[in-house]
Amino acid sequence: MDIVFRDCIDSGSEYCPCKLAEAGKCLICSHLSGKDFCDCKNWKGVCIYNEFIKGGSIAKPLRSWENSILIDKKELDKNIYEFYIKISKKLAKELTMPGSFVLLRDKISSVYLDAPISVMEIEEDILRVIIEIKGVKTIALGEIKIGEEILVRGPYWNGILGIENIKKAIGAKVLLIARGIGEAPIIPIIKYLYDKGNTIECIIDKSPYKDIFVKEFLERYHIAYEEEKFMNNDGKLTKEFTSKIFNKIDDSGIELIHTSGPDILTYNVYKVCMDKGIKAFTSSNNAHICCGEGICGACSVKNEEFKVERGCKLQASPIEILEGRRLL
Amino acid sequence: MKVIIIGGGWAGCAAAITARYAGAEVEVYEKTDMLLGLGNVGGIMRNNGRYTAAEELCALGLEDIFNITDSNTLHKNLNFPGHEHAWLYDVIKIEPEMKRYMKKLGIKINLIARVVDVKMKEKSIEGIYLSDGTFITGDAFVETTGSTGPMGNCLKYGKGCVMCILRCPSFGPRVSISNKAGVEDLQGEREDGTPGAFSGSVEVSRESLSEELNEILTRDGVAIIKIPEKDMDKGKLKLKVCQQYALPEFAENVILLDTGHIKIMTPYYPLEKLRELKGFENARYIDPYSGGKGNSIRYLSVAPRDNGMKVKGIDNLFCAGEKSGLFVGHTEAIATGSLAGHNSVRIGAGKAPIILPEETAVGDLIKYTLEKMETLEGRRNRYTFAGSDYFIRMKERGLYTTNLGEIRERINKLHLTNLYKIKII
Repeated sequence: MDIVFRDCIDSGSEYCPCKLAEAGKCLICSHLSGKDFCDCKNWKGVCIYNEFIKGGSIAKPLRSWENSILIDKKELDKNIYEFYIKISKKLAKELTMPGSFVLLRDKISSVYLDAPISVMEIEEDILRVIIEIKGVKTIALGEIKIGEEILVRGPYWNGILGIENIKKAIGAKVLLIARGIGEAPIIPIIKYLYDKGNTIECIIDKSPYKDIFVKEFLERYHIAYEEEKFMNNDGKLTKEFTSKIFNKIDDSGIELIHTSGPDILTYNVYKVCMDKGIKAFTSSNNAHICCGEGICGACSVKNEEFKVERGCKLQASPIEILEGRRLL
Repeated sequence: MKVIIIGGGWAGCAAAITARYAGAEVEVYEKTDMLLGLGNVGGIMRNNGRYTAAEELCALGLEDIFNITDSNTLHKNLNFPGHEHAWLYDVIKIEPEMKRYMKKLGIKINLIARVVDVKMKEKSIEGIYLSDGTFITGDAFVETTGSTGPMGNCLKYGKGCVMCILRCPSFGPRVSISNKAGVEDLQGEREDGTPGAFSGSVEVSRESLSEELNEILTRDGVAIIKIPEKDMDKGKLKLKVCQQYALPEFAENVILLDTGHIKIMTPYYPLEKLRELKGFENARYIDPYSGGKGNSIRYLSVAPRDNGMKVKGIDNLFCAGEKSGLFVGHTEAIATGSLAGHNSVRIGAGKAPIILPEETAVGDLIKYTLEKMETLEGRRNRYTFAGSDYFIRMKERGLYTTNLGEIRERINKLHLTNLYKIKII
């Protein structure tokens, strides 16, 4: 790894400076992390120290919950639902960037049941998400009925690692790789890249589901896609998948690869493609998001570069996050 | 051999020019869209001991630089309190002309290119990283990033960002490169021990002053307006960087100089109060934009160095300008920058660096400042040919003169004539 920049997805937003700044643990600012003088290597266009001092040396308020209505709900397969939720126009506007997500919860459960769910689509004030029923949080979500209230907390933005590379892509050749529930968060990416004149190709592994559930979008944006089984049970990439990637790189001159699936998929795709002249790798951020505010620590990234940092806010390339994970 | 200059202010430009004269391939990386940095709002040359220093530097081979500042001079041989024979260059015309000159020399100028980190190989710098991640290799490096700002420092140690010519919010803040290379920065202090100091002057647009004031300034280059007793603030003098202007006359009067813009020799002056003075009814600040509120904070990032301008602990990093000591002024930046640029090529070519002898004002200032920086009292002082401590020393040691023949002879006797013009590689 050469130079490593760190960014905070919330820097300069209405949620910055946050509780981390207040505690002297800001991801970006040297003054707000125990130093006496400026060190602006990671500066992103706004002086967080200035915002903090001029704002009375306190953190900006945390995100709040919106009382929203589940207006439609479709069972796509066993244990997988599509939710249509009516949210405020303000929140809807703030959820359009790729990587956006929300915390969802039914009205009676405790705050610990807030489940992080990626935005699949925002249309006007309708939030469309896919929910995989898996654990305590999503089981509770699955029981909400059409017309009932649902609590939506947001906006959160750090669903993609290396987002800058997606934002920078104009007229580029991009390969999107998605598996299972990972199909949902590639839709905002497709929209974004499509608007900027990029050429997009997809390889999708529908498992564990019977069918690809984002076909409607792939067709809408005329995205060429292929299906393949990505990994064997041991996490190794299948031969067929690897050769499909190589063919695409050779035939189309892929510049950017995005993976939307488990970390092992991202890491192995990177390993097989690292010498293929790919300009950038991006991926879904698979940190365990709990509070989303940099407080609880559930999302902590621990590796050589970042020691212990909050994964809900830290922006870096997936490789910088996955490489050199620490046990200590 | 490639020399990389980090920071395109006066010190960086001088370093680029001498490194180029010495035969190196030279690339300048400057974070803003203009060269000369604070030189775009300064303009005072040749006052007091700066006259001697400028002529020494010409004899050392820098007559082209001083021809440019001289030929863009609006007012020559001005006297104002504490200062004699000042020349004021036109701050509006100087930058494009310097840029043209440097391009003609074949120096590669990269603007809006902010250097944020280095790659080390043992005790040498292998290359630099720009804020977009671009990696650039070089053989020798000269850091002239200054010691002013950024916004966080101006807030913590001053009155916040006042939107000065460095324009950190637009182009990104300076990053201390020596610090990234593993060498801790030193700081200057104020009398009470607070780190840093306020920049010394502000500028108003000439159009905003009365016709009468404009007439005086265009004719004389200087105007002195008495401040009403109630508004005098002698305490402010202590805040200033420019101790050569920390005289009672500067607290009792508003002293204006015509440098293209109109310079007010006060670190800041509340706009409403300023507008109470005759002729200032419509005054408005143009540098810093919030000049009524405060000024930029300087001297927070000085690298430890030797008298050959090499940064201690790094084999191929040199420094100059404010980065190399608590200096004030363009002439001081050119004096340190030119030596740093020249020595960067010498080291790269495997030759011993030049240390300018203390029989020259330039060499003596470089050496004296380094000695003084070791002491607490010295870190609370500022160093310039134009006044304060060092000008007294210059006079005591017989270094101050305006006799051109004597200065040329001084350099010649030391066998240093056109030193900087000699091709090393």
